[in-house]
Amino acid sequence: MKAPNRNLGVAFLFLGPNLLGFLLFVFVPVLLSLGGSFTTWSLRPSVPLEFIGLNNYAALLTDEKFYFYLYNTFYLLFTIPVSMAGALGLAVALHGPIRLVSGQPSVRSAILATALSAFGGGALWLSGWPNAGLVLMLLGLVAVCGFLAGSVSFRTFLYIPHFAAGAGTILLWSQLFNPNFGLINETLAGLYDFLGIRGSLPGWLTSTRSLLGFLPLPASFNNGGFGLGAREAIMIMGIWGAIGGNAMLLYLAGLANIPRDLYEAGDIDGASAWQRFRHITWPQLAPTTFFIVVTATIGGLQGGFEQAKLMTQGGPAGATTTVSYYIYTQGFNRLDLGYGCAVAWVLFIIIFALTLFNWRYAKGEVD
Amino acid sequence: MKLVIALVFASLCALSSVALLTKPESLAGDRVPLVRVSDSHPRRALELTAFNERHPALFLSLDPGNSGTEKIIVQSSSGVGPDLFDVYGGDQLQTFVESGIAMDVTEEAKRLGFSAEEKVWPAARGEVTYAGRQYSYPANVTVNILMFNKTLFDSLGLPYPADDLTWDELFALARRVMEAGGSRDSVYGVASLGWKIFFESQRGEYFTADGTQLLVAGPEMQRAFELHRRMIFEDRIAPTSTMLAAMSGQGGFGSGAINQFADGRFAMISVGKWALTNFRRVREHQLLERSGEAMRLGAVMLPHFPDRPPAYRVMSKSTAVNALSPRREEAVKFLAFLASEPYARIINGGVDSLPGNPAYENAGLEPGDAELSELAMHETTVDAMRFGYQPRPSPFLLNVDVNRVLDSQISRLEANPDLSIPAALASAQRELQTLMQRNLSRDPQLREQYRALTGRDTVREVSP
Amino acid sequence: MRRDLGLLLKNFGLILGATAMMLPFLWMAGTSLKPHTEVERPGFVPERAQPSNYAVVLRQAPDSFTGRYLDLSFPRWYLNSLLVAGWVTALQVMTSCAAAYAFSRLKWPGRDKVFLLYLSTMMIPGLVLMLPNYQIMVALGLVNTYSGLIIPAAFSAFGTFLMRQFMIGLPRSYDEAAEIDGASHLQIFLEVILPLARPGMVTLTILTFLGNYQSFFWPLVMVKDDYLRTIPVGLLSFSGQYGQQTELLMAATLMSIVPLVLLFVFMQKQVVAGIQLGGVKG
Repeated sequence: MKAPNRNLGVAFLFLGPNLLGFLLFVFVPVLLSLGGSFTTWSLRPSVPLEFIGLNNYAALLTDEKFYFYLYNTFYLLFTIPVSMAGALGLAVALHGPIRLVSGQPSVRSAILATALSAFGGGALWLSGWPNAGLVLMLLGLVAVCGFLAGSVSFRTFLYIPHFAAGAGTILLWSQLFNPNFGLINETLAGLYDFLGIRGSLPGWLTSTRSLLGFLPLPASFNNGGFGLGAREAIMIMGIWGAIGGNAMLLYLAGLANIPRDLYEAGDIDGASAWQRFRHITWPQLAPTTFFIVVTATIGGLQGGFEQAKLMTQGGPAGATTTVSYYIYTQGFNRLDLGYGCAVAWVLFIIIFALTLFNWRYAKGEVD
Repeated sequence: MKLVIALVFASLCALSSVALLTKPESLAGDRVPLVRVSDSHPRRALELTAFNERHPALFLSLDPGNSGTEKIIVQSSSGVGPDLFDVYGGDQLQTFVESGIAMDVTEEAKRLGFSAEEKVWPAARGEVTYAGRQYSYPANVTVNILMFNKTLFDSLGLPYPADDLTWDELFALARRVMEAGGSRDSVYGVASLGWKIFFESQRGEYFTADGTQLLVAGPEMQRAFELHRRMIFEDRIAPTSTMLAAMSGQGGFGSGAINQFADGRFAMISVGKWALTNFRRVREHQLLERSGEAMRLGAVMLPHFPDRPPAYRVMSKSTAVNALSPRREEAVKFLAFLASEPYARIINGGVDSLPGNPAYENAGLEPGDAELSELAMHETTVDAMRFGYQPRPSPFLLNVDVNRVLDSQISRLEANPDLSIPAALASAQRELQTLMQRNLSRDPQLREQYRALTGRDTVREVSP
Repeated sequence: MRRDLGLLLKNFGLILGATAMMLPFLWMAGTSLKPHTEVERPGFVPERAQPSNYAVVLRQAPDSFTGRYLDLSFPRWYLNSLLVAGWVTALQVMTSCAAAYAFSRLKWPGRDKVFLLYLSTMMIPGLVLMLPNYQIMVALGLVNTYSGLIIPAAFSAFGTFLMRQFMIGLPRSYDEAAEIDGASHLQIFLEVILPLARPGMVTLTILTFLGNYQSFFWPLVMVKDDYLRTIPVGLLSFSGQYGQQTELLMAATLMSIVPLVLLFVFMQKQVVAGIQLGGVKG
């Protein structure tokens, strides 16, 4: 083993290109924003740049909006456990070759599925249910791809929502969530009629209700009571995008790295599927889980900007304003960059503390 | 794997050379290039061509990346912004002026003949001026009118809205529409009305004349909020404003409500004449389809309060010059072009809003489709301009803040109809006073100005 | 028998789940075929399909709004998006792997502190970094160039973190054996560690490529000339002042996804291929 100090030069060579870019494009701006948070930095030329110490931070502590938006940000973090559990389940289900029935991928099943969905869908379409017919055909298409190509096709289908992130998907979801004419409420209305339920449909993006609405929240949180509202709509959209997304991909890569002989040993002991998962898969995936938890928390606490900017403008009544959207409005609508930077750095402290907690906690679990 | 990596780099290099080789030559040649950030409506191309023909030494091109103020602010505060950019209304102009990006063109306007005093609709001057100086020239000017779907009214057997309606009469008519149309799914009485229009209908002001005090908890705002609540919860003639926003997706200018109106889901809509571009297309499509009757439209001025004369907020999309552009002297010529007759002809020819220069209000006007009452709508808009006004801005607080805070209170009210309106407005007033105070504490010039007007450094907490 | 039932249930669930995930795209495809007047109506199926929406986006047909050809160049946006995302990905994977090697396989004083510093920069909202970063690009003269789109994105703390996590799990015995054989660090890195970290590299490639293909804000402020526009910025062309042309936006969005799906189908086999390589860890 060489002495650690001798490695310093080598390490620097490996680190060099990254470090250079990192210093210039990340570290320098980071320092500027830290400095800026102690000043009156403004986009108004009439405001002179002055050092004002902790004034921005003091104003922030009494800013009741900030607490509200922080609450929203944390509330939206609930998407992480849901989508991670989903991603893990999907990855385990998709790992390795998929056999739809015992034996090899079956051409016969594919032909059957094609015939069923084509005739069924066609019949529905012609008898005045074109939309249901189309859905049945989609189901058939998915099944046929599954029969013929196995896990490759499922991975692709599940990952596709992740490709389309951006203006198109956001517009798409705001139409789906339309409380009067949207697909989601139309389906729910049909379901209500079928089950004979008389109740009002969720207001989705137009509502300040939330699943935590029964809590006695402060008045400044504009609580609309218990129910499904704008925050839940954003969360559903987030879960749709994330469940088959990066976390699933990372779990698949992690699963690919688990040595097979561990499972073979388990098979000899006659372990059940659950036992094998609990005692082999889960501990072996711990570094991956750790990575996902850390990055998803970091990303989640900075999230919600695009949805707010393109979908809700932070409304209704601030329900979908997250801290990062607040930073944006402070900087680019109010032109008050110094205050925006202070908000960003308080957020940084929160994220840093959480990450450190994750790190300490994981050290016990992973090692 | 080495092969894969080599292949990746080879193909990237190949792609790059393709991209660089096919990089288009600058069309400007030896002409002075100018860039205008605007939307990508195909009619913009006509405007550029006409301008470039008039100015052989200049070459104006379009950057259609208009997605809010941040792009222009980031680029311009780093000194590399566009030469010209579009400004949506006086509120946005204030933001651009306060951030030092919009150039003061008062002197140029006098020299080149596009000054706000002489060449702009009187009621639209506030959209291009700020604190007595001119910063832009209107690309179009509009005021909302009440359009109605004649086909729908006929099929329900109801009379069309009359001229000179009061708000009560409009609400009563909208209720009749909803009763008569009850068997159909969700026909609403009216789209795109709200507290803001009710406030403006009383010539409401957000600030005292010197701009030092807020009036957002005053009687006009209370009346506007009460009418808003009545519209949604008592008369139930309109969806909530957030629901309306949800319908419009991200389409900015209420395009969702416009499409739904065209689809027969609303009997009436408060909208500018420019929406005709959309309705023309819908009607063409319906005629082609030959299923059912194609949409016919009419329009009257928006209603008023019985104890007040009509009043309408005038809106304008204007174009400003980047104060930091090295080519600003050339760019100013485009503003002069916007005040000219050829430009007015382009605007009127495309059933857009009105041109900024009232001298050419009818230049190039075409009769258009009589079933859509295109000409009548033009006349109604011109008539409504007589009652146009602008709420005055305050140097101490940005209007975008005022709007954001009040919108947030209205969505609280929509979520909870039992909310006390005075309490909601008091809370808005407090929040805005805090923001104003923060602006004062930042800006010594502003503080100086405030002290000169009030003798104080701090915003007085007025309990409304 | 019980196993077969379980398998059947699992697969049925997968088929249903995948269908549910694809439903919004069915809606998107339906909307992309609708005429403008039908866009706000419910249902996937257009009453009168209008496939010419695709031709309008590709400038093969005039826009029905104005009867003019739209002023946009979809193929060019495609080229730019592929080019920018491709370069960013190639550079980022390279720099991240090298840095991750230094953070995971080499022992040097201060290593973990420097790493924590890297990691902590991920925790600052990018919005407040945008303005300083933009001014740096102005100072370097890179505004409105391909380099300005590529270079700032080529270094990432996320990628370094991801690759470090992958490399740190690899058994030490490999580099020790190679070191005893007299291999240099470069050789160990290229010939021992990188092949073992392949599933991680492929994953990072997919994530980086996607993230940059979709990135919106930076290209929006960075680009001024038409020929440099990428797809997400180009899509803005469909929301003009007179309302949004939803049907065209949906058609363009669907077309923009196609290369990503192809890339993914090709690349994800590599993630699976990691299984043979991972089998040596014990």
